Amino acid sequence: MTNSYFNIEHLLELTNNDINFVKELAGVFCETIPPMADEMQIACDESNWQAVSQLAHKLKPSIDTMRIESIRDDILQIESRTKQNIELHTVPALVTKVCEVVYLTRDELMASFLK
Amino acid sequence: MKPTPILIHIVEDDAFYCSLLAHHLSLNPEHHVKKFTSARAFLDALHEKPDIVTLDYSLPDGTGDQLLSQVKELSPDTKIIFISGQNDIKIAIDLLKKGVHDYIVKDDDTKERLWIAVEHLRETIELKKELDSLRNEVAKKYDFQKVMIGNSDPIRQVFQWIDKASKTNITVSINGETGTGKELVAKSIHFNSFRKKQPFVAVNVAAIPKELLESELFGHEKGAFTGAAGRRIGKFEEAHKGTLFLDEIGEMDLSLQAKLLRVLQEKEITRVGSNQLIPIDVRIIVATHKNLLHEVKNGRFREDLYYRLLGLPIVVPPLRERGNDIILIARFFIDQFCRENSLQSKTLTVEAKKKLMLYNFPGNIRELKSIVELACVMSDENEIDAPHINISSNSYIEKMNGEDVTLRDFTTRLIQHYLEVYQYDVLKVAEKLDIGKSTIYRMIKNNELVVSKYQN
Repeated sequence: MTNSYFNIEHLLELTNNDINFVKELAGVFCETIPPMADEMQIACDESNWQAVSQLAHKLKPSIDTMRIESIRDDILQIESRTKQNIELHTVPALVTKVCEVVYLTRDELMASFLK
Repeated sequence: MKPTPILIHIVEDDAFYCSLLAHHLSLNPEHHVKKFTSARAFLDALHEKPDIVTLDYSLPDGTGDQLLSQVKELSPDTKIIFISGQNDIKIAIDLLKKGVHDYIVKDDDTKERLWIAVEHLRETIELKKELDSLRNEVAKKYDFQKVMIGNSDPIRQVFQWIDKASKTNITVSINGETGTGKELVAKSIHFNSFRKKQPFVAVNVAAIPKELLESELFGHEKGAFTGAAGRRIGKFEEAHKGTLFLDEIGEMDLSLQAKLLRVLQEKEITRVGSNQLIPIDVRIIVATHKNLLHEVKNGRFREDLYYRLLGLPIVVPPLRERGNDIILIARFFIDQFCRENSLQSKTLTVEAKKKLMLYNFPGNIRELKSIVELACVMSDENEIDAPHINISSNSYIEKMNGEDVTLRDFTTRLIQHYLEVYQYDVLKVAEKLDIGKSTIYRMIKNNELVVSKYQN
C-alpha cells in the first residue's frame, strides 16, 4: 500500500482478515492515540523528559502494530534520548513530527473505516 | 479431556494494544477474555479469580511489582504473564523468580508468544482443575457418615473420634482386628480434615521387606545403594502437607523405629545416601491389629515411639460386637453387588439374618462382604436364605456357634481347632491349652480327634 501512513495488509494479517475488528481497532486508535500524542507534546513543551519518555514508551507498540513506518524510528529515538538524557535538543522536533503523523494517520483511518 | 473454559484478564493501559491482545486470545472459543486499562479496574474484578492474567509492567496507577504481590495474595492460583515494552533481562529474571509464569516483550512476535504461553498454561490449569475435581469426588466418597455403615454404640463412638480427629492435626493410632476397616477410618479422617486437598499416602509396613522400608519411607539418592539408579522421593515427601497412613506399624523393625521417632520429633527427613535435611509437614495416622503396649513390654516396639504415636487412640470394634450393624452392612453389600452385576435386588430371610447374627466373623467386614456376595450368587430367587449363607471357616469352634453342645463336645472341638491352627503340633497344643499331651494322644487314638498328620 503506497501513500498511506499505516499498513492495512499488516493489520489484516494481524486480525486474520477480520475487517470488523480492523474497524474496531481503527476506532480505538482514533480515540486513544492522538490524546496520548497531545500529552507527549505538552510534556515536551514543559521539558518534562521523564513524562515524554513514558508516553513514547506507551505509544511505541501501537505505532509498531499499525506499521506507521515514517515515525517508527522517531518514537524509539524519543524514548531512548529522553530516558538517557542525551541530545534532548533534538527531541521537540521529533515529538512534533510524531504528533503530526499520528493525526494524519487518524484522518486516514477515519476516512477509510469510520465514515 | 474436554477443554475447560478459562478466564483471562488483560491489563494494559494502551487501549489499542489491549484490544489487539484480547482479540487474538479470543480466537480460541474456550478463552473468556476481559480487558482492563487500569490497575484499579483490574483489582476491582480480581474477585472473579481469573485463571490467567497478562500484566503490563508499567501502568499509570501501579507498578507491575505491586500488582504482582496483590494478585499473589488475593488470587494465588492465578497464573501471571508479564507483557512489557522493556527488553530488560534483569527485570524479567527478577519477575520469574517471584513466580511469574512468563515475560513477553512487546514486539512483532508478542501475540504468537502470548498464544503459546497461554496454551501451555491451559494444560496446567486443566490438569489442576481435574485434580481438584477428583479430590472433591474422593472427599465425597469418604464422607464417613455415608461409607461407614452402622448405628451400634461402638461404631457411633468411632464416628465421634473421627470427627474430633478431623478437626485437628493430632496423631491418630487406630487399633482393630483385621478387616474392621482401619484404612477406611484413616481415609475418613484425612478427607474430612483441612488437609483433604493434599495427598493421602498409605504404606503397609508389613508388606514391604524391612531392608527396603527405609528408602520407601524416606526416599534415596542416586547411588545410595546397589540398584539405586536414580533419586527416589519417599512416602513422607509424597505426603507433604497431607496425611501418611502407616498400616501395621507393629511390624516395623526396631532400628527403623528409632529413625521414624527422630523424623516425627524433628519434622524433617534425610533421604538414604544424602546429608540434606528436608523439612516435612505430614499428619501421621498409624494402625495395627496388635496390642502395641504388649509389644513394648516384650521389647519389640520402642516405648518412646509408642507414646509419640499414641495421640488419639481409636479402637475399631470387631463386627461381632456391632450387633444389628451386621445386617445393615450385609444389606449394603448385597445392594452394591446386585447393582454392579445387574441383578435384581435381593432381601435376607429371617433365617439368613439369624445365621449371620450368630456367626462371629473372625475376618470381620471383609469376610461379611465375601459371604454375602457368594450368597447373592448362590440364591436364585430374590431372597437370600440361610442355606445360601456359606460360612466358609473350617474351624470347629466357629461351626458350633448357636448349637447346643456338651462340655465334652466343646473340649474336643477346642482341641481340634488348636491342632489345626498349630499344624497338628501336639506338644505345642498341649502347652497352649495347658493340658497333658497324653490326653491329646488318647483322644486321637479313640478317634475323637481328626488328624491328617501329626508330628512327635
